[in-house]
Amino acid sequence: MDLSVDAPPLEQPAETEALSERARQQLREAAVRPILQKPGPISRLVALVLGAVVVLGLVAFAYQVVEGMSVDAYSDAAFWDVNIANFITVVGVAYGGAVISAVLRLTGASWRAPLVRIAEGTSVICVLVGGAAIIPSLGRPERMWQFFTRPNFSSPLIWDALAIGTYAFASIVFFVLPLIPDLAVAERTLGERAGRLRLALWRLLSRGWRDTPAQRRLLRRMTGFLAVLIIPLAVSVHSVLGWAFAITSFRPWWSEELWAPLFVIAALYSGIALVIVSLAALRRAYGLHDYITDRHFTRLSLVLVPFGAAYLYMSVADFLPGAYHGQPSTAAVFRTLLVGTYAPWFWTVVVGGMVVPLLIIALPRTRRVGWIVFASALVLPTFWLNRVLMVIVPSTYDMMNGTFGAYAWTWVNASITAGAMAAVPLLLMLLFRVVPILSVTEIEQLAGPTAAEEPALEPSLAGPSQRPIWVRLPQGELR
Amino acid sequence: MRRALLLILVTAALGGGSPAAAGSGSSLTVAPKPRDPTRLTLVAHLPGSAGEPVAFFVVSKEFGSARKVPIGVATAGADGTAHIAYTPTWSGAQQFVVKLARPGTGARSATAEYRVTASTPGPLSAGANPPRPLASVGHVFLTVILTIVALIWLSLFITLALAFGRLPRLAGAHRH
Repeated sequence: MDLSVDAPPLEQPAETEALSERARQQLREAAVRPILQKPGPISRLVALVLGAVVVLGLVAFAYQVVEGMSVDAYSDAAFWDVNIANFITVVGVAYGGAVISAVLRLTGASWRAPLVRIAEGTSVICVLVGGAAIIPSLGRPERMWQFFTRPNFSSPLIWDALAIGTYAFASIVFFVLPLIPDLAVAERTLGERAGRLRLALWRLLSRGWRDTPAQRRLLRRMTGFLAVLIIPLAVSVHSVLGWAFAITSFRPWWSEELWAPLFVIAALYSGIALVIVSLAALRRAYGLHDYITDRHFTRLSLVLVPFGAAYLYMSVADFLPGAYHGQPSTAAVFRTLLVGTYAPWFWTVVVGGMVVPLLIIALPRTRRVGWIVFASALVLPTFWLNRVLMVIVPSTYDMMNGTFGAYAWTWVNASITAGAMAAVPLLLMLLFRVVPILSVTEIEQLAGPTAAEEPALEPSLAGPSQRPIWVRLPQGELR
Repeated sequence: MRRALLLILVTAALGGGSPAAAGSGSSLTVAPKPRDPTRLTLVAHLPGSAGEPVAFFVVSKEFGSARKVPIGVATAGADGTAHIAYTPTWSGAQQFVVKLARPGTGARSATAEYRVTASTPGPLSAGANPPRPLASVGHVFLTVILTIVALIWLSLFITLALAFGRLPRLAGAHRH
C-alpha cells in the first residue's frame, strides 16, 4: 500500500508572511457567506426535503407514544430495535469532529484551521440529535425527568445519560469558545447586515472581545484545556455504550470484552467520514475551495485509514474465537451473520464499509477528493447498518430454544430513523446560517503575523508550529 | 454480604398443574422435576400425533395483550406424548399451551394452568457461583465516578464563567 502524500510533506515549514489585506477581506467574506448568501433553489429544495423528513419522523414518534412500542416492531422476540442503532450511530459520528479537532489542536497541526469550525459544529449537532435519538426507545418519554429524581445507578441507561450529557456540554463549550473572536470579527464586518437576532447573539457571545494579548492568552488556555478534556470524555461515552450492551442479560455477542474499544474505533472512523462528507458538501455549497483545499481531504483520508484498519482487525479478533469454539448462543449469532440470514448485510458492511474505503484511500490513483468523499460516504450508511446488526441480531435470539425471532420494519421505525438522519444535515445548514463557517481568527493567526500582531501560536503538546495551512490566496499561491 | 448471584428457586405445589384440553383427548400436564425443583416438565398428550413436532408455549402479558412465547419443540412419541423441560423465570400463575407445530396438521392443542412460586435460594448458590471480585466496591466506585463527573461539569462551568466573565474584563489589558 502506498500511503504517501504528493506534497507538501508534513515536516515542511510554512512561510510566515502575513495575509494581505485583500486576502483577509476575502476570508472574512467567505466565513459569513452562508449567512449573507441567499439560498438558491437547490439549497431550498434540499432544506425542504430534509425538513419534511424530520417532520415525518416527529409524527411517527408521536404516533408511537400514543399507540405503544409495538408499532415500532418491539416485541418479545425483539426487545431492542433500530432506534438504539440510530442512537449509537449518531452519537458515534459526533465523536469524530470534536476529537479530530482536539487532536489537531494539541499536535499543533496548523492545516486544521479551515476545518475545525465545521468539524466541531458537526460534533455539536450530532451529539444533540444522537441524544434525542434514544428517546423513541424509552417507551415512556414523559418519565425522563425521573432520570434525575430517581436515578438507578445499577442501570446502564443512567450512565449513558450522564456520559452523553457531559460530552454534549463539553462539545458545546468547545465549539463556542473559539467562536468568540470570530463573532466579534463578524459583528464588525457585517454590522446591521447580519440581522437583528444574529447580531444580538453575536454581541452576547463576543461581549467585550478586543483581541488583546491577554484575552488571546486566556482563550488559548481554555481551548487547550477543553481539547485535552474532550478526548477522554468522548472515549468514555462510547465505552459506556459498549458496556451497556455487555451487561444486558448476557446476550450472545454483546458481552464481548472488545466492544468498548470497538465502539470507540467505530465512532472515530465514522465520525471522521462524516467530517469529510460535511466538508465536501459545505465547500461545494458555499464555494470554499480556496480554504478547504484538496490536500485537506487527502490528509483527513489518511487519518481515516488507521481507524478503518483497526476496526477491521478488531472485528476479526471479535468473530474468530466466537465462531470457532464460542458458546452455542454466540456461535449461533455469528453463524447467522457470516453465512445465514443476515450474511448479505454483514458482508455489505465488511466490504462496503471497510475493505472498499480502505482500498480507495490506499491506492494513489483513487486518492482524489471525489473518491475520498465517495469512500467516506460509503462508511456512513454501512456503519449504521453495522450497528443495526449489532443491536437486532443478538436481541432477537431466543436464549431458551436457540432460534431467532423476526424483526420487522414498520413505517414508524423507518420514519423515525429517516428523521434522525435528516436532522443532522438540516441542523448543520441552519447552524452555519447563524455562525461563521470558517475559523477566521485562527486562519489569520496561523497564516502568519502581521506587523501589528504578535505571532499567535496555538497551545500544543508538540510545541508551537507554523505548518502549512494551504489557504489559496487571491494571487493564486498555495500556502 | 449479599449473595453474589440470586438464583430463582421454583417450588411448586404438590401435584401437577391443572390440565385442560382444547382438542378431543388432548392434555397438558405441568410438574416440577423430582430432583430439581427449579425445572418443570411439561408433558403433552395429543392423540394421533405420533412423530409430529409439538410446540410448547408459555403465555405472557409482558408486552400488552397475551402472547404465546415459544418454549421449544419436541417430537411426539408413538402414543402421541411429547415432553419438554422448562425453567420458569418469574413467579405467579402461568398458562402453558401446547399444539402441533406444523401448520395444517389440525387444531389439536391443550392448555394448563400452573402456579409458580419463586424464592431466593439458600446455600445452593454459594458453591456454584463464587462471589464476583468487584462486587463489594460498588459504593466506592459509584462515589468516585460521580465525583469525577461532578468535577468535569464544574470545570466546564468555570471555563464558561471565565469566557463570559473574565474575557471582557481583559479587554483593556495592556499589550505585551
